Amino acid sequence: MKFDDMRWEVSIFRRRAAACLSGGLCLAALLSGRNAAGATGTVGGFATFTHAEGDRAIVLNRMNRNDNEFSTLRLNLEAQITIAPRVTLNMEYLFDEAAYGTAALTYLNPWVTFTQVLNRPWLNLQVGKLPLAFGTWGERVRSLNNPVIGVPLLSGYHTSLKSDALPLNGDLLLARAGLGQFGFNYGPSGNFFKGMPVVYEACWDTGVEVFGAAGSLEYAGMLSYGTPGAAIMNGQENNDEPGFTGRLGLSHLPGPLFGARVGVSAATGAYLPRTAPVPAGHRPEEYDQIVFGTDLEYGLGPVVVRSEIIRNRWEMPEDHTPEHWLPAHVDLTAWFVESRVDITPMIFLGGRYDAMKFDKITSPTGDAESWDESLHRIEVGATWRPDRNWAVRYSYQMWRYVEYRRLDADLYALQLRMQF
Amino acid sequence: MRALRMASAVSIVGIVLGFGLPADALAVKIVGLATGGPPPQTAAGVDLYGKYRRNDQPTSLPAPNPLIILLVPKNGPPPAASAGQRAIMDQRNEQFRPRALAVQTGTTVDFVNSDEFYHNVFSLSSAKKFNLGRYRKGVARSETFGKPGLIKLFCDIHPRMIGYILAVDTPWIGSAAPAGDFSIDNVPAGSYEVLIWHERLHEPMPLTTLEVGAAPEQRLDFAVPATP
Repeated sequence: MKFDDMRWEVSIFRRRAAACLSGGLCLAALLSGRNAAGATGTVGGFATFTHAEGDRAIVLNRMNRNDNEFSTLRLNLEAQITIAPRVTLNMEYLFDEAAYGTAALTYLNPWVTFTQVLNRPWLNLQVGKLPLAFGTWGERVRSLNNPVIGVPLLSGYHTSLKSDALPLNGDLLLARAGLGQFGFNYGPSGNFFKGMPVVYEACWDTGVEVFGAAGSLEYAGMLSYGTPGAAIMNGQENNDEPGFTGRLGLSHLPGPLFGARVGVSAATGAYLPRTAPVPAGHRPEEYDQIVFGTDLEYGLGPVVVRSEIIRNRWEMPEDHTPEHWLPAHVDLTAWFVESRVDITPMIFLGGRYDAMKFDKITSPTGDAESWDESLHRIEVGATWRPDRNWAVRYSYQMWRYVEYRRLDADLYALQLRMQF
Repeated sequence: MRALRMASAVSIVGIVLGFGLPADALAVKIVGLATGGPPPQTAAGVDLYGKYRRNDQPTSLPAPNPLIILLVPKNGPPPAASAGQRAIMDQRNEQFRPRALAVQTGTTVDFVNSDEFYHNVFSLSSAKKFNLGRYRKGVARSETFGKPGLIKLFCDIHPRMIGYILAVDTPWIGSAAPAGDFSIDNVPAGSYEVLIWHERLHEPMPLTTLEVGAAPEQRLDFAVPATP
């Protein structure tokens, strides 16, 4: 079979898979209607009202659509509807006053969860727009119990590599270092937009996931249209290679490790769209994002400590000519460690140290430079929780870049958070 | 004197019938309605993220609706709790068991963790604020409830967990089984106000009065009003 024929077959398969997925969702909707009388649901969510000081730091905290945890008003609506035994329809919608108005629908995250498939307690399935199955931040992102307000760098910071196009050469990539969070392009015809994050929690990917737990083992495996740094939010695949994300973890460990939870995660997939210009004779799908990570949690009494570390690679078309030189890949390491201490039933203290270190790339002239601006960040905060459903958080963030100190920034924020 | 009081003590047994029936159905015996009534409260918030990814998902049906029956003497204060009086609130299958526990003020409650994972019980109720922290299976942490009131219990790790401690001055406390039957032992003869509490009530609700005589056993059958 010729390569083009194979691609056609793959395309047909994908369309059929999409049709099956759509059919499954319709069936779930029909079941929902049939069981409307017996359907049970829970509706909830949270709202945050924030006053923040530190304009540049707020920009550094922004997600793709300018939404961010320090927006003046955020409203997250959540619903969980049992539409059949062991089948739930989940929905989330985020309103963020700082976000682009035109992107409103991209904040709608619907997905269906099938639990205990084939009566196997360890086998669960979900389809739709799914939270990332990488690390454990995605499980905690909406929790009031997070020690600080900000999102870990590895889950939200935008690098100077774009997800829709490659730089014309390494010099152009180096020239954009530090601009990922502010928006940039690689040339006059490119989209002026933020760079690509690494393991991006804010944009859920479209796909299917199996997950569960048995004994001390936890597992999750997800096939999706995008990758952890370039999720597909609109349900339409933009290249011909699916992404895979998975995590294996251990918990319920014996003895002094009872309070520990550890895991390893990995993900790979093509991050460029099929429309991205690549050298003649090559396809965008040849260049993958490959990321490995570990997560660790340990809690005892009033203290909990968590940490995640990732090693990420974005592959590129290697070129050694002076005009179009590019490395075979650009790499980075990112990690955080955070802790929360309960002082009284109503008062917590917390802090997180984040770091992101970009590897060096070497130009044809032999010069080696970090391909983006390495940085670290400290956030400390205090939470006053007078009620189960609302809390006041005060937080201080300190952004420090290793070399390009002009980007350094500080932020103070006071936030009221209410859940319902 | 103590011997005399004990000699005159009787057991109060009864069946709670028909959650949701009108109040004028008192003493009417309606069988099989104890499972009705107000549905269990859930803690605020939807636990969408990773609920089934974690290795601590619940494996059993929710605990039944709690119904507490209190007898408060109309003539004079009830006796104080004896020193060292204790009760147990278990945490099992990601639920508080029992879902509601009524104790006499001064009682120490042992919060036992029977699950294979951490729990972290806390309460922000005005009657008692506490945070027990994370502790492992088989370990119990204790709190003494010296002030009457309703104490809502939560787990800091599992947001859907909710439980109640009802601290009351009277020692004559009954807790209805799922079928509605209950018993209260060692009730001295006298006149009592009967109060009930379930989780839709902020505080115990007066229901009726009860004259306890000299018979060894006395029935107290009633229906729970539909609304407070």
